[in-house]
Amino acid sequence: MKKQLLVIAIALIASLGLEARGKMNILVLTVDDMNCDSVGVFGCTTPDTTPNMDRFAVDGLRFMNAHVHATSCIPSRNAVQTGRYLFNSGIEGFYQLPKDQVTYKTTPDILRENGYFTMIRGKSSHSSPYTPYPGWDINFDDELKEKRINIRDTKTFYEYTKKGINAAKAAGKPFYFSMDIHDPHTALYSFSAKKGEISTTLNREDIDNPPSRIFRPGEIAMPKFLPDTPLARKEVTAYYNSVRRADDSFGNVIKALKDTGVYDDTLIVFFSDHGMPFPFAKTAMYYHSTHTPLMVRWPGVTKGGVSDKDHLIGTVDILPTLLEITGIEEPDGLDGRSFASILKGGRQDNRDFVYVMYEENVGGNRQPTRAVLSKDYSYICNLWSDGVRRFATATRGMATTMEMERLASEGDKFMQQRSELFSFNVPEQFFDLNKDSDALNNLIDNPEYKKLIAKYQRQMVKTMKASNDPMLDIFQKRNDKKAVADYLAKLDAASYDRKTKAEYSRSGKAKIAKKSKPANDPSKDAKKEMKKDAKMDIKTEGSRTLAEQLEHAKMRAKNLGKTFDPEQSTRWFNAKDTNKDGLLDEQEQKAKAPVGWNDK
Amino acid sequence: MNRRDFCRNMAVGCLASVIATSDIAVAKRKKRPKNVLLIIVDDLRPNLGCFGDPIAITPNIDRLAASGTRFSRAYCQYPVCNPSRISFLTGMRPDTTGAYRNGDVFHDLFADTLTINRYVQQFGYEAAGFGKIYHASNGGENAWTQPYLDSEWLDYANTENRARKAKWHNMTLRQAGLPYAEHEDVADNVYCDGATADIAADRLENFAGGDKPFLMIVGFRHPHLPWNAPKRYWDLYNDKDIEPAANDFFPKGAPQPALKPRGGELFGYAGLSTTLEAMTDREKRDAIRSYYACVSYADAQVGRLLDTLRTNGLDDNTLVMLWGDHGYHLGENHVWAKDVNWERNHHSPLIIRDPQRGKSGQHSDALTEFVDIFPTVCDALDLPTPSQCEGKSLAPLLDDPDTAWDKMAFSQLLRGTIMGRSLRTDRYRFTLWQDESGASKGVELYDYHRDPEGNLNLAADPEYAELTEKMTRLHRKHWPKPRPREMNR
Repeated sequence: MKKQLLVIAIALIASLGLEARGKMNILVLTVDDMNCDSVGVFGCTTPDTTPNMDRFAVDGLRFMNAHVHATSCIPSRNAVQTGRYLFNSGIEGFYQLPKDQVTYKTTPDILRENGYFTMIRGKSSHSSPYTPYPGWDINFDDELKEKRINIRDTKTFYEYTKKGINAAKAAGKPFYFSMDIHDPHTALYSFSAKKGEISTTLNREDIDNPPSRIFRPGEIAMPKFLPDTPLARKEVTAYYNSVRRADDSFGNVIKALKDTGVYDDTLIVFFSDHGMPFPFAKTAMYYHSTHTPLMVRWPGVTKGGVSDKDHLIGTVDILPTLLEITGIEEPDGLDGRSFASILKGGRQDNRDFVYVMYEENVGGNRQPTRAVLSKDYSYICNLWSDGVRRFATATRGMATTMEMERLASEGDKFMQQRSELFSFNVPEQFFDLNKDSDALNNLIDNPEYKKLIAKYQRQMVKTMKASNDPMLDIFQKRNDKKAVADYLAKLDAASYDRKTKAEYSRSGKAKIAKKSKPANDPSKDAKKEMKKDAKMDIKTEGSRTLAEQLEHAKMRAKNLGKTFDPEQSTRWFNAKDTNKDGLLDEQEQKAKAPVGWNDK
Repeated sequence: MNRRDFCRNMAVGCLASVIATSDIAVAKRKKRPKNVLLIIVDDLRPNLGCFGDPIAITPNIDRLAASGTRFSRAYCQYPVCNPSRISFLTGMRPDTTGAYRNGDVFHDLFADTLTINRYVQQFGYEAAGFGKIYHASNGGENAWTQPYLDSEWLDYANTENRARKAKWHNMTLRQAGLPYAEHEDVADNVYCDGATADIAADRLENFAGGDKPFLMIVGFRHPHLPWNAPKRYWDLYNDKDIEPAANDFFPKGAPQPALKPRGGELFGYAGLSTTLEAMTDREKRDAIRSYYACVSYADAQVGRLLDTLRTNGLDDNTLVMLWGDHGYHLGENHVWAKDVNWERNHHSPLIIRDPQRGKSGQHSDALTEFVDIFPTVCDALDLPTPSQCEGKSLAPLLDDPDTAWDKMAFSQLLRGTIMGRSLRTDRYRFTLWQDESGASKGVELYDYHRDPEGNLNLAADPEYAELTEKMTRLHRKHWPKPRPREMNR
């Protein structure tokens, strides 16, 4: 109690001091592609992954039930910066919006108007509706690119945090700093899926930038939703090494804040933009896809070391919270709701659900998905899953995915199921998060859960109505196959249209030339695009028809500027289509000599 | 001006109305439930001043002993980190937990098991853990109410060693050139235990102002290898005071399974000969001195915690316990480090300070075990002891250390597939090695009255046939039966 008194007194004095000095600085710090349960204080079962984040948790408040709203980079980050769901901000994929379509203000715009000095480092092109975005006073990414600095270099996080703080000091303003730590995004620390190896000699940039601890494959705990083969284990180990390196960078940011003396004048918000870059996590809609290690330190207000298990928080809530804390009026049209009173130790009602979504991948393949989560259950609607459409995603290129498909092709029943689910999914899913957070047991057809599922479906309708989700109508008609097919065709056509226009592209060039009107069957057309876009979507040979493999290899050779020689291309053509039916059946697959992969 | 006065001065004027509340709170706190601070020191054998070591400089642990009860014959249940820790943190014997190896990681196998830190949470306790507590695990889900912070195992401070460590992952420590000891002239918190003490002390201060009782477990990593400690602790010791073990040979007549295989922990590091046989006198002296330096370093960190308790007015209401996770060999019986089934490896210090029990500075030589720790904590806090606990509360010994204590200490070690179950009576240690079918693979009997270092296995001596026979019967009758493991939380 004595101590509490002291704290109250100090808080009082501190707040007076702050009032006199002006507004509090804000740092929104993110990591890229990190699972919530990779952080020690969020229950990581591999020990010693994040000592700095754990240390920060002693000073800050942890939200144990926080989720991001989208599971790929640009949509997730824009949900935070715009304070809006994907369909309300218009940023549903990896395209950008033409300026005239951006009718709202984003976080840097609002804070800048209210006297903040706004800065960004890392993922600047992914964090606003279009790029370059005028809301930033400084975009450090330009400098990093110009000087050819390794953006993952842990030391630079110390330097650039200091730089930013000094720049804001020179401008005489409080700062809003949006900083992203690029780890543990792929490329994972010194890992080559091709060679199946972890080695410090593989990646030049990694040699001078090792994590402070390197894990061995035996030390790490494999997520239950991934195959546990030696190669997959190596890849996950590389992921944890990258997590550790992200943590090193995190530590350097905090150190810079402390060294410059602004740590106690800075509100820090930390989270990960979505789950780990593995199948059933990134770009998916499961618990681990959206669950994020949200930590907030509001100096003098948040109690240290505390965890909040009662409230569900979405990252759209961050903008309203920042505005309430800084006393800035909230603009209309935000989808989130401030949790500042929770930071003060209070309780809020109606925080039982969170609404999350996924729309399209880097290649613009539309695969609309929605989910409603509570602390206990999650209900997922994979609207796109019609049994024909194949899931197009960046996680297909992971060695772990390939291992899953290899085991499936070798006859592993469970992996066949998983692989099928990964590629085609099912229209609806329901999971008990307390028993099955890894989403291995879909309860949607379990009669015991019928009532509960109906409740979650009603909740989804409610949320859709409240947020003006354009998917509302079709969600209610989700059992009408024709209507769904028409809806998806419309989305495909819109996406195709965007891809032909330069103003929708972040690179400034249209992704594809507009040859003719979209084909009659847009999904087929999208498939063609998928095949063309080899870099973004590497399928394994096991899952292709022979003709597809040939096509793929030819295209690869063309992309690499080489002539195609099927005899020499052993990587793809060790299998023989002996019965010449154009397909590799099981026996023919087995006859295939091992190529590139081995389990040693 | 003490903290309370300071607090009042701060309050006068702007917070006058709260002063009354403060007085009520102080009165109320006297009735508060007791707090607990458990300190586990990795690989600590009784090389401590209070245990009669002639050269050890350990003023802080000595101070703790002088204000509490020292147990001079406390034994671990398993002479390796992980199984021993799982055993005392759950209160169950290794035969019940089934964890015999360092690889039997806690969070995989004991996710639903009641542990001491989970147990007290049910009674409104805050549970906080810092440093090495569970071996290679953070204790699983719901283990703590506060963020658990681990400490760094290979905590080298030297830049060259840190660079070597970065490349260590796909080779052995020796190949990477990581030395078994390092003594840089740095602040205490540059090495891991100082950093752990920083955090733990900070958290204790926070708890002092809180309204909930707490249980805090602090695990110091030294004197575990590598023996890293700031230079000033190394300088505390004089080379001429260090004496390598006189009995650098396996006990005569010890059966094959009892012997430690070649190599081992110490020789995995760089900076000394590759084998025990090649070790020079100089190397032995340096190694022993490094161990002592680490003991003094850990002692200083214990001191920081004790000081924090005192300055925050917590020490009159906090149960403090300190012990090592098991004993240690520094060349005695031809063994360095651990992983043998002998007295040195089972014997570890145990000190308990319960401000409401017993006289300060008392000492008990009753045979006690680490499974007794969990029930003792429950007793001290007036909580029921969970039924899974296989030990016996030491409360009677705290009240009166001369209480008759008719107990044996049981320890065991798995060597490959052969299990050695060892029981310690007042005078003897008797060990039975058996394979999976129960067939005998060796017997050991040591008489510590005649042979305090345990250099001679008497089991094969015909003169002792009768005693061996008697001990075998005793072993059969008293060795605790494994229980079905309880999976409640």
